Amino acid sequence: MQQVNPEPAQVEGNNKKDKKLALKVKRDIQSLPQIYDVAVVRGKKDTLVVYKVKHMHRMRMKQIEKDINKMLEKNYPKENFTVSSDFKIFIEAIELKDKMENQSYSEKEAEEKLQKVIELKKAMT
Amino acid sequence: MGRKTSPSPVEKGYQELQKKHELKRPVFKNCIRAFLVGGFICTIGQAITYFYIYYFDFTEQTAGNPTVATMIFLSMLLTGFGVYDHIGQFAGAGSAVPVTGFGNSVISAAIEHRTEGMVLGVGGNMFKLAGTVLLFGVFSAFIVALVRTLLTMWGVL
Amino acid sequence: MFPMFFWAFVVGGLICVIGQLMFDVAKLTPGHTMSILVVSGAVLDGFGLYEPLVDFAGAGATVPITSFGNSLAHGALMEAEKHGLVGVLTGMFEVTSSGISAAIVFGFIAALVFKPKG
Repeated sequence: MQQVNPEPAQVEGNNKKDKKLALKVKRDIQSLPQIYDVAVVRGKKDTLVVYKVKHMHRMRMKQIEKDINKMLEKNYPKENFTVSSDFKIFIEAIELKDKMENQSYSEKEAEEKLQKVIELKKAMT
Repeated sequence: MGRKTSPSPVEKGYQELQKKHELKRPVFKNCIRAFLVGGFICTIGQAITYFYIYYFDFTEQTAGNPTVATMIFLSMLLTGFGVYDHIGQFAGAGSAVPVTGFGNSVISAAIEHRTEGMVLGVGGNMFKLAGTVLLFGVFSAFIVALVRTLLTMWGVL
Repeated sequence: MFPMFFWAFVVGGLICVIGQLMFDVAKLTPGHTMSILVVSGAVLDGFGLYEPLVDFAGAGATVPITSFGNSLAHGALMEAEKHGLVGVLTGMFEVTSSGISAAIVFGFIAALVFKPKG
């Protein structure tokens, strides 16, 4: 299956501890058998976790999201996670990461964009 | 329609005559056509959905709205040029069940009754079929939501 | 992406076959059929079964008329969760408005632009 499989991205600076955490989160989620692509973006306060679900498991997408939320709550209680399986959010996360690496976003702009993506995830209409 | 007596011989004869002349419907062939056309319309809808996800700010959750609006727009074009009726002849439920069928019924009624004027003709007749759909849709949604909310409030769910 | 197109085709087609059976076997009119399908969409959402179908089949579940019933019930349920019983009435058309508004707007435009055929 086509995988993008991006490295976890980080908005602020190059804090080594943060990077390790993001990688660990990514590995935790990737280990789940129903999931095949994970992107993690860390902001100042929130961490965006986006993943793709294998098609046959999509009927249980809501349950999978609940399970992942519970697992992240248990393993990393101090962090604030936003979890999504939505394709658009995935595309936006990859775009955000690419722009951050190309230096076309400053730190402040990247944080704003991250907040926008999190808002987009919550939209219902 | 409770009958206390069985049908008389004349009535029985008529019923048999009616059965002989009744239009036989090739159920299996119709189902295949409905499946193919209906599936095709939904596939086009899926392409439209992905278009809106990629090029606009819609998520998987919210892309359904512009998709439905676009499909009704397409059904307006097909209905206006008289093509949708031909599709309907061929596909039966395959063209009536998707949202395009709903759009077609509203739009064809509007076009047809235009000669009677905008207010009484178009306005008064547009919702012949749509009215039924709205009535039962809204009422059933109301009952479903009411029952579920009450059950949640009373701690059963 | 590609499995989604396949399942959209299959699930959409199957819902239309159910409609066709209602036409041919149960001998129902289009009005009856569409009403039954809309009500089924609402009831399935009440049981929490329609949203997983949308996740799985995408447009195969959002394009048939059953999705009207689903959106109406879904909007009502979401609003009721937030605002209590009154939400059942206020939330209903929140998510559904695009289909109905589009039908009304385009219907009127079509009446202005197109000529009725004999």
